[in-house]
Amino acid sequence: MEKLKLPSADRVKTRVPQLISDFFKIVVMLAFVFPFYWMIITAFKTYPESMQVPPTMWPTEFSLEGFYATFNSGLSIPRYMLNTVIVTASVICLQLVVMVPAAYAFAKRKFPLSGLAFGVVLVAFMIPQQLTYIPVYLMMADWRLISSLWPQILPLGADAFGIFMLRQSFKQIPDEIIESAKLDNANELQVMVQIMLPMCKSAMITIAMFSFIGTWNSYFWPLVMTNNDLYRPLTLAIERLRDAEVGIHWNTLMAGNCLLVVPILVVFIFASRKIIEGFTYRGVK
Amino acid sequence: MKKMTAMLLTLALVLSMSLVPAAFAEAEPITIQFWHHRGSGTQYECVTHAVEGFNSTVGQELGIVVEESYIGDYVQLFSQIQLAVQSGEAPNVISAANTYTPYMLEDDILVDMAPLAAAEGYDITGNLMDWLLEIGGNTDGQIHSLPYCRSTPLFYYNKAVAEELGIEIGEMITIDELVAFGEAAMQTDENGNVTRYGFEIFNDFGYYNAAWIYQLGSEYMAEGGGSPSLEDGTMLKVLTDWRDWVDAGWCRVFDATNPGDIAQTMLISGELASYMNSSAGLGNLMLAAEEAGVEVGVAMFPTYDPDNHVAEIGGANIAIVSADNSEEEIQASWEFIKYIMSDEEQYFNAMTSGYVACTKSIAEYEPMIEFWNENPEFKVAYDQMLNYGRAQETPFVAVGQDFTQICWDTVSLLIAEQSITPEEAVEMITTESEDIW
Repeated sequence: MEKLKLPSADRVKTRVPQLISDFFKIVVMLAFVFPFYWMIITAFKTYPESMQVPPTMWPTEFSLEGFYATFNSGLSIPRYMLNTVIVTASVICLQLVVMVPAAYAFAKRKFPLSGLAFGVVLVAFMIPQQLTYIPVYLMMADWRLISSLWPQILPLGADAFGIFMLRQSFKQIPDEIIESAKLDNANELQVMVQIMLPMCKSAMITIAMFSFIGTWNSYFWPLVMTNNDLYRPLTLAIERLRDAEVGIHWNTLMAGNCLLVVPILVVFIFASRKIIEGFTYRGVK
Repeated sequence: MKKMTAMLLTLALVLSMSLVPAAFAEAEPITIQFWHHRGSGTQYECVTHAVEGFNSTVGQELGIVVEESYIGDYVQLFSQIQLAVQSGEAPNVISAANTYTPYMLEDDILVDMAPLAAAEGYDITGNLMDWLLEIGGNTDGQIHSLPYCRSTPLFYYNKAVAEELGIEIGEMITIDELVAFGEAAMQTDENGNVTRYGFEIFNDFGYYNAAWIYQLGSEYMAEGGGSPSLEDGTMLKVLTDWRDWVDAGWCRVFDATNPGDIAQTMLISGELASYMNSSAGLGNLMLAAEEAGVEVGVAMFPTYDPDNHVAEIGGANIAIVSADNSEEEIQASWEFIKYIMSDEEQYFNAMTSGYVACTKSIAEYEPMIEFWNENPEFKVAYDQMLNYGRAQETPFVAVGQDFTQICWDTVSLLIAEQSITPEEAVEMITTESEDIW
């Protein structure tokens, strides 16, 4: 049997849009990937090569001097890294502890003024974080917590976006499942933890991922909330590698940025499928 | 997942709780918080040298421990100090940009160190360069701040370019010589695109262009407010010249962010022949140039009038904060400040960073003399401030920084956007500054 072929005009009609679409996908991908590529190759260049004009697209000689300089800059990089890890882990844990019951209550429980309470949560979306800097700083100072990691953790304990997103996920779970769990003598906590959470794993991972990226990369909040290097995160250390008055050693700065970015890339690579699931599930429901 | 979450939570909270300081419970030794703006490289090296040196000598003897904290650049540092004072978390010793000192004096948060010096018979003012005493708060026998890392703008150029052009640049360069060098140094490709600029000025009007106004016989800001330069044509001349240089193509338009970094990179890579920058960048510029195998020359700030050489003084002073601090802490802070002002520290600071050594006695300090003989480019700033014309301290005008901000904004339109003429720029500065005086 002869193979069916599309008339050439139809083939063109089908393939041209596909080619244009692919072309733009590649352009967008390059636009996103190139800065990372540039950061990594610059980190492995020597200082003179990092200053070279026109720049080289691949190091002529792979050098670790940027990384060496970062760790020998006089800054306690391990201390900053530890602070970042502690703050990020604490914020994620605290947010989950606060968000899960809140989202569950908004999604599945009926209580007086629940609509208003949820509206208040949504209002938090609309308030620029910068407006809260000074009041929160003064509050933390009142509590004598400025010289600690707490100002970077406590104010971020409840995330309006996370509550909203998790509530939407919980709402998608049929009430019948909850009722049947209760018929099996499950209490409210068991329903929430053993029934609801496993069914919303993708949403949880998505929220945790956003929280992780936001906290890990946070710059202005810790800049305002800390007065001592003992409590500052890695982002502020990287900023110190460039000095307004002394000029930039690009290879050192990029090596510092690699230290900052690589953990995020690793987490993203492992969690990307779940993040996409987290969004698509709700999209097709 | 639950177990993992619980473990993470416990671990994180326990670790962060352990970081709440026990310092409040400790009475001895006295701990002094020193907030500064010197974050990295040779700048930070100077801070750690001073702090470690003090803690291991005078501090150990007197039971004082200084803890340094880099807070941010001048603006961040000033904002954080204000916030800390309001919240009762004020530091003890601070570095403060000279342009922000008037605000702190207005807020009355700085200690007058004159009585502390007088009580010990310590001649705090006699050994300092006279120009440096003209900062607000140090008149009428009071000393509210002392020069810590003071800078002055210098002219940096690529020596190979000067040699290639057969132009010899001496210790002092006039504006006419600058124009001739800039024009000759510019190179273009076959399409007329500039491949090497002759010169660049950053958008820091109060630090660079203001000095030219003084050289032309006027004042950038008068004590008590107002800018005579807006009336007598000197502001117009300075702005017109700059715009003409840019229009001619040899003067590069400054970058909005990180202009110093970019200009340094371009100077070393051969895309820029010269630029003006703070002496504070000298140490790192020389290191970077040496690493790249480029020879950099240093001359004094260019002048319209060799007989009236004026250069601004920038950088920061050091001061003791009065808010929230006990007499004991203030006395301990004073010990640290005296240590900073010693010839040994002045020498290390100048040699390492390029900031100007501020004492007269440093000129007779043997290690300094030896260093200057080996590295004459590091002496240019000291000579400029002590031996030539006038070094202009920021006038004590409470709204001085606001006026400078108006000049910055206007220069952006005149030079970067090129959307207004010099005449319109003067008009704009005049109109917008009317309300602030």
